[in-house]
Amino acid sequence: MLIETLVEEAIKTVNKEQKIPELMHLNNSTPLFELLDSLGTLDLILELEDRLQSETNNYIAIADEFSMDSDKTPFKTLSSLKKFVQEKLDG
Amino acid sequence: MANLEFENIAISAITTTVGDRCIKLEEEKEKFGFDDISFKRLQKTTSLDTRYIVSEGITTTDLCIQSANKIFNNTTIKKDEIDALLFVTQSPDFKAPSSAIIMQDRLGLPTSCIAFDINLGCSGFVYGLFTAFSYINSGMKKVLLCCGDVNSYFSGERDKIFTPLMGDAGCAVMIEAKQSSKSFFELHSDGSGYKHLIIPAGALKEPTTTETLIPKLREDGGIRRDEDLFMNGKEVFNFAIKTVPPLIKSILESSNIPAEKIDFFVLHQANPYILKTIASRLKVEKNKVPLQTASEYGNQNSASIAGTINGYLSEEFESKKLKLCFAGFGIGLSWAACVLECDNIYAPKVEMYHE
Repeated sequence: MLIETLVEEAIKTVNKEQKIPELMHLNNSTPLFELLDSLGTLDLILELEDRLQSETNNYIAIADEFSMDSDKTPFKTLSSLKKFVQEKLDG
Repeated sequence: MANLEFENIAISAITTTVGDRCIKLEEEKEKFGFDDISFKRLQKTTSLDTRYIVSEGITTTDLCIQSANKIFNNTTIKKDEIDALLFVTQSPDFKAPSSAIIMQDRLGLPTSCIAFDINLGCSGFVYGLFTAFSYINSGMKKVLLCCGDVNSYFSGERDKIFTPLMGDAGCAVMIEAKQSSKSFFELHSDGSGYKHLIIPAGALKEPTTTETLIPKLREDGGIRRDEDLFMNGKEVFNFAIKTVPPLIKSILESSNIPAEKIDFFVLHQANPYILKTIASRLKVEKNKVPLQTASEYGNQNSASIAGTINGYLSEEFESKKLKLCFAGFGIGLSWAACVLECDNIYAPKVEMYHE
């Protein structure tokens, strides 16, 4: 599965509970970190880790010291998150 | 402050008492207004299952006194041998005097005993140990350290964000002058983050008014009073992931003990995912980092390290000489770690409050 699709599907799953309107119509500038609360962000981290594990048969840790740092978080926008996940996958 | 060393000072007993009411998260689903999807999300992100809280009128001192009496009733340590009683809490019996002084009398400790409170939360266990070790180092023979909180007192009854995470617990730890290998401590504070974990009202900066006692719907969806605990989850998560791995690396380095030689890393039990992430960043074996305490008992603040030992490591502590790393982190912001040895200590299973 393409990383773009994997990330978008993960966000859609997380948003089933949150029902945040902006997350129903994603674009690369969607401000994920601003829209999700801490549990929502953690939920997305876990969802991404689950999906990456299913795809690669490897556990790839998504959280790091910048995950919830408002300035440096890779969750800032959909575009930055896709880039971050791709980098994690590339090792 | 780093590179703090002690020699021939050791822990000889650790006991923990939890609240007398076991609440299943499932039972609270309706009260907090969770639908099936949000309930599953909470379970997934926090691994919550049950938590233990106290019935009305029971306070942290009650939990700690039961824990302390368990030590006096089951070891050869006599009450008149205690030189100091330190009580780490954020939920004292009264604003004044120090609850520790009242506990001195309730426990029947001698009046020669020093007793005072230390106002700290999740880092408080290690801070309390450091204070106790310092007192022994200055000539005392036995110090009783009690830590804990009745978190349910300052958790909003309908605060679905914070309340389901919290448990009530009080522990007692006996620290003695005895032959032992070196212990190492490192402690830090950063008050610039004080607003991220705070009870905003009820003290001098924001005194109690009728307004501060009214539960209100907050931006994060929780319903709480200004006198209930508020947590900025993102900032606290970030703080934990940023500070704890370097803290542990630093204390292992200063103690010159490699991670492989540590039997258990017993960390404050905030959230299992945070602990898992810390363990993975430290590259230590998963079975050396217990992380199930919050799921079974709730977040026990300064009692959570003892709660984990009595909850899941009782047999190991009672039968082996263990090399350990403890680390606490949270409100303040404040964080601290130590490396020490425990040799066949008294560490029975967690008890529910019953006195």
